[in-house]
Amino acid sequence: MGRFRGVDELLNNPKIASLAKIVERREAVDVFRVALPEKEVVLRQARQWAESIFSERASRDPRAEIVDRKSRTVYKHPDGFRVRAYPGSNTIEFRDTNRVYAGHTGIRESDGVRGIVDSFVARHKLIPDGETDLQFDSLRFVKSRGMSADREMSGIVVHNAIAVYSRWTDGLPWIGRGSRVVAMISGEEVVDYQRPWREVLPEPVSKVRLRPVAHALEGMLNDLSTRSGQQDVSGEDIELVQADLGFYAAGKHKTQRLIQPVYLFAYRLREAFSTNGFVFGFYAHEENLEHILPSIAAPRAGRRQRIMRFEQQRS
Amino acid sequence: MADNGDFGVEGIRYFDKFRAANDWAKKTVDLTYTYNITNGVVDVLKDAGYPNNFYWAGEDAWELDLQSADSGGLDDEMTDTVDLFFINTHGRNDDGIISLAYNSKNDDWLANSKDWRLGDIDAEWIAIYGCDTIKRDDFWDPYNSIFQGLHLLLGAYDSMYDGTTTDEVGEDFADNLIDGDSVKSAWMDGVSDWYVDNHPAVISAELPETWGSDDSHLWPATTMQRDHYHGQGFVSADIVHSQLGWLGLMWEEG
Repeated sequence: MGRFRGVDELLNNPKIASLAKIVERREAVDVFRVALPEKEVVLRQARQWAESIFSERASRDPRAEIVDRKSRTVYKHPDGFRVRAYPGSNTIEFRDTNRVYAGHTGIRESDGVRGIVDSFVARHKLIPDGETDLQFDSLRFVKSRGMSADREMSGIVVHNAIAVYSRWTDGLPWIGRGSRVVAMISGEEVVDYQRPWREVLPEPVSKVRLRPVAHALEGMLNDLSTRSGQQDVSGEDIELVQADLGFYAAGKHKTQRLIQPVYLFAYRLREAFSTNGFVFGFYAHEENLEHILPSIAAPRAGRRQRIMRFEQQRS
Repeated sequence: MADNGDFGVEGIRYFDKFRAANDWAKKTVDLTYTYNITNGVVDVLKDAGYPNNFYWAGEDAWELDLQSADSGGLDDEMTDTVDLFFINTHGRNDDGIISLAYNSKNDDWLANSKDWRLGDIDAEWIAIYGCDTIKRDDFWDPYNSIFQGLHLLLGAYDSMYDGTTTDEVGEDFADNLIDGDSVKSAWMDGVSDWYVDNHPAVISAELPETWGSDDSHLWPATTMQRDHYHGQGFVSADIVHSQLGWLGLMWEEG
């Protein structure tokens, strides 16, 4: 099918096959509107986070210094605690800057983490009431070791456990940089909590038909061919790492008005110079209602000046 | 050279000339969000008042910029004249030797870490958003000579992703730097992508007195843990190569 070799092989890949089944079952997906956050409301929430967490943790006056940056407001406590608010995406983050990527934790299993995170979230009211669409996704670890000038290799320290949660709406996961809620543990305490939270209005604004997965795969191979100087590419050149259909959530710096279905494929190239991984995003429906996939920026700067300077040096 | 948080940036998105000139590299594909990432670093740090001494893009970025002046390179005019050097390109690793791809041949198509001697002038932190720059075992031999006063090498131990979900990693790294994170935390968190599995890692230069047997290093006293960006907190003193006791390594895995 199509002009690229190997699409059929990709369709037989178990990750794609299970995606295709979802598409077959759903056929169409609702598009939802995001309640555009009011800056003051987000900042009020962030202040509440700061007051609640700093009061519990700080050894002195829990009041924070407030720093306004271009895209965010930062609440900083002299003990190293910080809350940041990105109003455009309703993202709020807490961090104990002294204890992230530091210290030690004995936690190795997700069960241990989930109880700690649930208790922290409930105590400080970090997730809006009634929201139950968060699912535990994965557990990661921050580790360190050393190697001496005598070539002695030390043992490994596990500093932190990181619990990653994914959000679901209407039976589909949220996907993309702004789709995950993340908690980091040091010892047995949450020392970092990142909550991007675009609030979804309950009534869908539209229903869109899903394009077949094969269209998205062709789009991916076409993009790859373009980026390799129009060389022939095939599905066989690709090691598929991840394949998802879900509601796309942009990163925390972007304002987004709708959540729409998108295909995302993460892959690596076989036999390439580098082990680089690539993520390809493709609208899962024909009638794109809002451009939420990031557009590609141009470089700054331009200069012949430097080459002249170099030539002058060499001459 | 001033410890004022000045920084230099390089980004290479297209690799057409690299592919055409090197048969072994013909499967190298162009990157996509390179300039979203590098512009993110430049914009945030410049807005915060830090001097951006150079920003080379595409064919204006040269491997010579990392190469030591002792071997004919230009690090004494470029990479080693700024506190932070950030680059986004393709990377690979051969037994701990880093190669970075360039789309112009000045002097070579690849920067090779055997030629890097950083920090004897000014460089404190080098950040490479590219694949596979850090090896996690037997890392003393291939990396120690890079550290001539350099504090941290910020990189990756396997794939780093380029694409739709990683366009903001430069901005996030720079935000973290100026919001009070240590430099290594700024990197590890900023370039992590909780949707795809990026593989951030950091190597640090450490003094012999913080070494501990097994895993009992005095971590709170290490460069790895203490270094903050200039003006944002404590910055460790440079460790000249002759005083280097050990290298620390931090990574995130799941």
